[in-house]
Amino acid sequence: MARRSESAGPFLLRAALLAPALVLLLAFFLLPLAKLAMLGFEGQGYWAAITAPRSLRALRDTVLLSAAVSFSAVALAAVVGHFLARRRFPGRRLLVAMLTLPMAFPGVVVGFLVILLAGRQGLVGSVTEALFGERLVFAYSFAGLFAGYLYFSLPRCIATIMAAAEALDPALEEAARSLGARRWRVVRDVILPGLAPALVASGAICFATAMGALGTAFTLATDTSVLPMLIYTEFTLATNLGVAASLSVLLGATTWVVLALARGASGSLAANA
Amino acid sequence: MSLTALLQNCARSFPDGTRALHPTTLEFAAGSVTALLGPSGCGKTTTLRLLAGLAMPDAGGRVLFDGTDVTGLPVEQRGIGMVFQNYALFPNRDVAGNIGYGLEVRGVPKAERTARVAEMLRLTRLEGLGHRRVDQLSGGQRQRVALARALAPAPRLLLLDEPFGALDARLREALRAELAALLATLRITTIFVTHDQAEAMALGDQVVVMQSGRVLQQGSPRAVYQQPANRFVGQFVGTLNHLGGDRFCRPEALRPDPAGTLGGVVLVSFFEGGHTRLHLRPEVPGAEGEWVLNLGGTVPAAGSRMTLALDSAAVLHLPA
Repeated sequence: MARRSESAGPFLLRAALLAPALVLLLAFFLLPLAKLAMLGFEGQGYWAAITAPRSLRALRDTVLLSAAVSFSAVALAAVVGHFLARRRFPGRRLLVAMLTLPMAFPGVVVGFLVILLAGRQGLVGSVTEALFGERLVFAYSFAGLFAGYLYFSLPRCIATIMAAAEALDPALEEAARSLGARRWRVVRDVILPGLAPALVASGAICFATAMGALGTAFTLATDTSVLPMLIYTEFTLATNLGVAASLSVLLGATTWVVLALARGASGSLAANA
Repeated sequence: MSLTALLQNCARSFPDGTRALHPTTLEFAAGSVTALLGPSGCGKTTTLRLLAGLAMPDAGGRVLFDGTDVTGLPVEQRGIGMVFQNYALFPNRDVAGNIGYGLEVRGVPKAERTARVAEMLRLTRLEGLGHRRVDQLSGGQRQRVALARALAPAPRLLLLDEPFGALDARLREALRAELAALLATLRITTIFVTHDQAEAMALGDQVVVMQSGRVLQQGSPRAVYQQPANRFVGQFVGTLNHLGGDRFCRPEALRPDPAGTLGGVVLVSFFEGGHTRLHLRPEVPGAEGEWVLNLGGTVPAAGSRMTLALDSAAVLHLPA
């Protein structure tokens, strides 16, 4: 009780200390968001913007693409991250340093790289033409987007998961093996549960980043449209602020809901394990 | 039930060529309890890991269980039980889940598994804690869970890496007695690593003293204490008083005696309850360091001179 009255005492001081943070929150977060939400009511209004077939298709494509990228990136990063955390080999430090390089590239550069790889004049095309007499070009489709998104998502996932794998106690794996567990049992019973928080965290960041990615999509997407591109088009080309704002709110809300669901699911998984 | 384990000419080198363990041959008789004793870096843990299959010996070394070569078998196929230094309990499983893991992996049906887990909980005095999370357990309880988990699949060889390392002194002694009683009922071949000589002497039928990757002496605790192979073993297993040259004696070989031939000046005394531990500066030519001696009753004050008699049969001749 004594502690309580003590903490109630310097209320003004606390308020004063919190004030700068509150002002920042208000100025850069709450107010613009509120303004954005208000903007959505202009023009055709929310319902029309959100239920337009074009928006729905873009939303569906964006969610599916982001989910596929997140799952693939996390799965690949789990294997690579655990390997890099556990094995020591010549050139390991250089490899780890190089893996973080793509983090610095803007989305446009990533898109450019995908075109170099799988575009009309791309490497994959040349090889497949030489082998099968037909050029394989997938840079401008969802496969190309997937490759680009995966490229910029992987480094972040690997970095997070590697840190978590380094913190895993190797004795746990040895204990499981000493009790008769073969490789896959160890992965299932020890490594994956141990990495679960990092897998969920990096998957969530990956998903949110992919949902909002514009540069790569902008460079690649000729056959496809993702939601951020639609927003960009509405905002800059059509100067349709109302539609852009309602789509933005839709994008934010969808991402938030999917992440909340993922956290809930992983939380109950961890509790059951 | 238990097996005879044999390390035959086993060495273990680091990639840079330094030896963690020099070629070593050691036999662990069926049902015996052996302590691998030595300072850190002496090769005791390496020896344990070779037996477990967590490390492979250099070419030429062989590990045999009851005469069968198991050198190429990884740990999961050796059928051993192992208790790790910090217990390595699975944090995502409760106590029963930890204990039952080895049975689960072996595909033991659920009903049988539950019965066996209950039996292990009883054996290690953990009844009622089956559904506890492992992070809610005390250090002593964790150690018992680790032991129960290792024993549940009924291994024929039990390996323990510093089983009391993470516990405080009081708990160590209590659990040491408990483990000794448990091992005596199970009669399972047991090998444990420790750097604590009291623990090695109390638990082991046999003590293997190691230093810098070599076995210095192997024998019963009594033999190792009374006839140490060299100065290092003598000093590591108990206390040595230097009498000059290569002559040493244990503290109990010296006793206060007005007619004695040896003298020393009391430097400091430590009251340890049942007895008092005295440190003396020897007044004997050639004797280096301090003498230690344990006395009951009242003891002379610091600075006073003592006359001591030596049990000449207890003099140890130890080369450097």
